[in-house]
Amino acid sequence: MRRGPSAFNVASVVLGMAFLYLPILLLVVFSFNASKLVTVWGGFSTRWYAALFQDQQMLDAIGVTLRVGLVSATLATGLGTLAALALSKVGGFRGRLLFSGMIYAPLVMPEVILGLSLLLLFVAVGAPRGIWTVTVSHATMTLCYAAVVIQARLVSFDKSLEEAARDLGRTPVQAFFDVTLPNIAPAVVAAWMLAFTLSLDDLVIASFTSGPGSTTLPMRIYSQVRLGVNPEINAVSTLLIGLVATGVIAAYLVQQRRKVAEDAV
Amino acid sequence: MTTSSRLNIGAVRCTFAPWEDPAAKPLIRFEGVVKRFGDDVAVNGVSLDIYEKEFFALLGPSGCGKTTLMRMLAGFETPNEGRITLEGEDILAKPAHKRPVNMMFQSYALFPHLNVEQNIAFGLKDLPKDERNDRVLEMLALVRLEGLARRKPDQLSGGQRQRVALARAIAPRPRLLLLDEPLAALDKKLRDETQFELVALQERLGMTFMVVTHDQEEAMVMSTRVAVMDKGQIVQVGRPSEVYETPNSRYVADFIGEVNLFEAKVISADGVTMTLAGDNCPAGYAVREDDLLSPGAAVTLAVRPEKIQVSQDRPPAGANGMAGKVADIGYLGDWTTYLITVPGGMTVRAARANSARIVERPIDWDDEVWLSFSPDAAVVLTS
Repeated sequence: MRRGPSAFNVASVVLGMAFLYLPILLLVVFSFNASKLVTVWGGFSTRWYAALFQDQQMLDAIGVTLRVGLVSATLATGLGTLAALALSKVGGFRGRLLFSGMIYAPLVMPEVILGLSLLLLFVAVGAPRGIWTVTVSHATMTLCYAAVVIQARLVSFDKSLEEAARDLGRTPVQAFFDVTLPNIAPAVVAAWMLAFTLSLDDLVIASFTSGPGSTTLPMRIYSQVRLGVNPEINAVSTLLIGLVATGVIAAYLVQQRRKVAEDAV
Repeated sequence: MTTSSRLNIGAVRCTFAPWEDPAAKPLIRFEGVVKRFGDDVAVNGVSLDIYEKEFFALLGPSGCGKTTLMRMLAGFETPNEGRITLEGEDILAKPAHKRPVNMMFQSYALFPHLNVEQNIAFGLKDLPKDERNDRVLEMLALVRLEGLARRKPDQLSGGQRQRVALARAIAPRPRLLLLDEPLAALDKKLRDETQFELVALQERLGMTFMVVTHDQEEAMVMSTRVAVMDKGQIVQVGRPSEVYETPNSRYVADFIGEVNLFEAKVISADGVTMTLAGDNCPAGYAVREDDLLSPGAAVTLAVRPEKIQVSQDRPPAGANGMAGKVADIGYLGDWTTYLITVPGGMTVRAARANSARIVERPIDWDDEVWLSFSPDAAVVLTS
């Protein structure tokens, strides 16, 4: 006999989900609030979205964030792919353990420490802080995540495919582009999206490493909230949530389509 | 191969034997090749010639170095010592992608993101487009996969994948095709068919094949010559029939097929027949004398099960008769295998073809029987 979920189970799921998503839901709902008061519902309106697109500072911040995200995610994915390839090389190499440790260390390093040390580095070498220092810092931070995702895919990649490509007249570099890359592409795409998302919502490292004219969106939101929450923040946050959700769902679909193709025999 | 010139060995007569022609130039030559992985010696001083149009088999248990030897030819491993030449030219200087050698991988290593056609065309990128398309069609016809050109590898059966892998490796027309356990992933019936198909294909293409296998039947059926390997060294090279009928060591005798090994001591030799004594045969052995051995030498007599006769009647003198008791009988349909305990406690394996459907006096468990073998059935092993 099949028994339905108990009242306790239902309640705990509902409460847990509410705890996770109710704040986000409230934020989205109140971004369509006609009233200027954040906590009082004054009817449906898109006026805050209109106001957002009038706010040049906010638009600049969005522009900076997108540029930093695109460039740093691409950089991190490229370097992360190379690191993952080196780590999954058959037979290993001298210092492999040290290398993997150093690649993965930023995963557990406090962001404040990472941000501070990057700031010290930029000051020491006399690099003018701006959009490029933020970009490089984000690439440093997200590289390890990209490497983890891609290495997981490389573990199940049949190394003899690469040998077969070389056997059939491809140089090792050609073999990588003709055979390895197409086969690990879903992981590379997923790694890029992860890196992009991480860059998009980073506040701590950006605060340390940005300069004048390179204020990112999270930094702008944070500084505005300190002066009091206004519904425009809700609007921009809703857009941000939409973007991230789209990215996550797209990454999921890319992986899923691949699975379906693999299962269809 | 001193014996091959004097005796007709095995049931097959074959005129293709470039290795017996001193003027013939080998296609591939290994000279003192050594490969170490750390402290392990995978290949320990292999020298070997392979001739054009041969179907050469490297046979040995896993870990004997046969795959490493093949991977050195393909260019995936570099020997620590020695030379490998192809038509007299050192190939070790060339990277894998420049060698006129192609390999069919044990896992087939088909590119999952490409369809059958694209897989076969992968090694043909230097050909003009028309010629490339023609070659792909030719290969598809050769392996009978015309209807499946657009399928992806994961939409094919195991046998079809094997044929795509073969077509892909043959398509660039290599001077030498390497096959790494080509039939290991197929089921028994398909494997039996494919063995003969591969031989027919190799003869039609006139290509040189080198196959690595641990399956002795596979090696025997397909190859012109077999090299038996053990612990990184080649123990014996010869035609399948030579390796089977005149093994040069206990290892080869034991590895290829079933064999009964009788320990014996030389009593006397008259130039034609040698008389020996041993625990298992109180009457003494009489075997054909191939090599000069002095009396007192300890040897091993290797006798194949199918060369031992089982009978209820006592055999004539000089036929290596041994009295024994049937311990077990295995009926295989075409053959029946008898396990018979003889003096000295040894269990002898004898096999009999079931050429008659009705047997007058069938042999039963625990029957007292006589075993015998003719003087030329035994191979005298000194090592």
